[in-house]
Amino acid sequence: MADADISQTVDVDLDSDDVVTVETLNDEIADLIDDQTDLNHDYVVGDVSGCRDSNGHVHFDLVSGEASIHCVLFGFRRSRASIEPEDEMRVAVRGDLSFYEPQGSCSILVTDVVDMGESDYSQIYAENKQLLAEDGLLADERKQPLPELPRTIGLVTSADSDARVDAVTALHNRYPDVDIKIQHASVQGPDALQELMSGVATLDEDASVDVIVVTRGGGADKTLRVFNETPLCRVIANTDTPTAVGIGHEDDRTLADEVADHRFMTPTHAGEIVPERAALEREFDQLSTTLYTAYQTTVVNQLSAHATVLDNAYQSTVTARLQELGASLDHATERHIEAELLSLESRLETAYQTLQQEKEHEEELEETVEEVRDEAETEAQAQIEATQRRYRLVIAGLVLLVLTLAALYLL
Amino acid sequence: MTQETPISDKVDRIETIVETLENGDVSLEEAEELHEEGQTLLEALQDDLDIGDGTVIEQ
Repeated sequence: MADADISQTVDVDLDSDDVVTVETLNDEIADLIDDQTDLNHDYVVGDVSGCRDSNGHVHFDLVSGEASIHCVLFGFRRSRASIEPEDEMRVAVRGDLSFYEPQGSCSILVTDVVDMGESDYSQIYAENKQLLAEDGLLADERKQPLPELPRTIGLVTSADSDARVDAVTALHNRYPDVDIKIQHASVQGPDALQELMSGVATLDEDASVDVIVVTRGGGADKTLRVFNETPLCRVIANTDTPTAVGIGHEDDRTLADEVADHRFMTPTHAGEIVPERAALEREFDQLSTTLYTAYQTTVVNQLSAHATVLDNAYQSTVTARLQELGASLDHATERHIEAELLSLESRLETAYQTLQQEKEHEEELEETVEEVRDEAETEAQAQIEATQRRYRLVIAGLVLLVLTLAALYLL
Repeated sequence: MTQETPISDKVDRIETIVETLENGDVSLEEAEELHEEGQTLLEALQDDLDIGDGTVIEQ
């Protein structure tokens, strides 16, 4: 059956005629599996691991001891299966063995799943968790706060892994200035436990490290089990330096997560250990603006208040002074008027006196004139009377004369 | 506050200063002192941001 591929390797001297391609080999394996009825069992028992939904189909690994085989429960069969498989369940699966030639992998195409209770490992996991809980290592009270801005981060992860790249990138994307010290450690396999513990302990002794980050990418549940080992959990829980652990995918949980001071979901989420520098700068700029505005407003309000007080004080002072001056002016005016009146009164009195004296003098003069006049009149009257008497005498003489003459004449 | 004072405490203090100023119950002298304290804290916060060189050290 190997002859079909010989023509494709004519340029290579392999010292054999039995040479095939992967395609041929996989075809041969597929034929063997299809023809081998001994491989068709009613049920296969094992523990469910790495159970996930993909396009409506359930994929999981069926694990027993160190062995595992991939299983798939197609969507159209899910409703007919006795149960839905879940991680850490012990199940018996019925199905057909299938060889997937493109990848050379063997799977069970599951037709039914029967619950057989908890898996062996779930019991171990529960026991480990109980031990850690009894020692108080799961208590929230003992968790340390992470530094709000770590200067140096200690990273324990696998060298040259995607997890290392993702974690470093995530940290520097959020805070480019942060220094990172990396302790390489196997994250699965026989050396993983010792190297992980050693890595954590080494970084814990480094005074420059502000927070220790332990991370690895996703994988089969079985490969993550080292992170449920109590020695590693105790080392992580008992560090003086705050710790953060992110193992596997979003839905993977390990005991290392639970004893750590902080859990993040995946290596890509390691960045949440540090703040985002750009956000801090924006926050500080906003604070600066707010502070300046508050100060400016306070100064303007205070100056305005002072100006108002000053205006009021000035107005009060001016008003009071004006009132004083007004009062003084009124008083001075009154005194001036009084003095003027006194002066006028005095002058009037003097004038009156003078007038009175003049009047008296005039009266005296008038009296004198009157007296003179009276005297003159008396004298004139006397003269007149004297004259009249003379005239009367004359007249009488004349009359007498006339009479005498008349008498004479008559006679 | 010192350089070792946590960032959050400095931010809290600045926010308290802003609230005090906004309440308006401070004199001009007090306002100036508070503003200077806030400015000093902001400068310290800017200094706090410069924590390292972004070095990756493989051990």
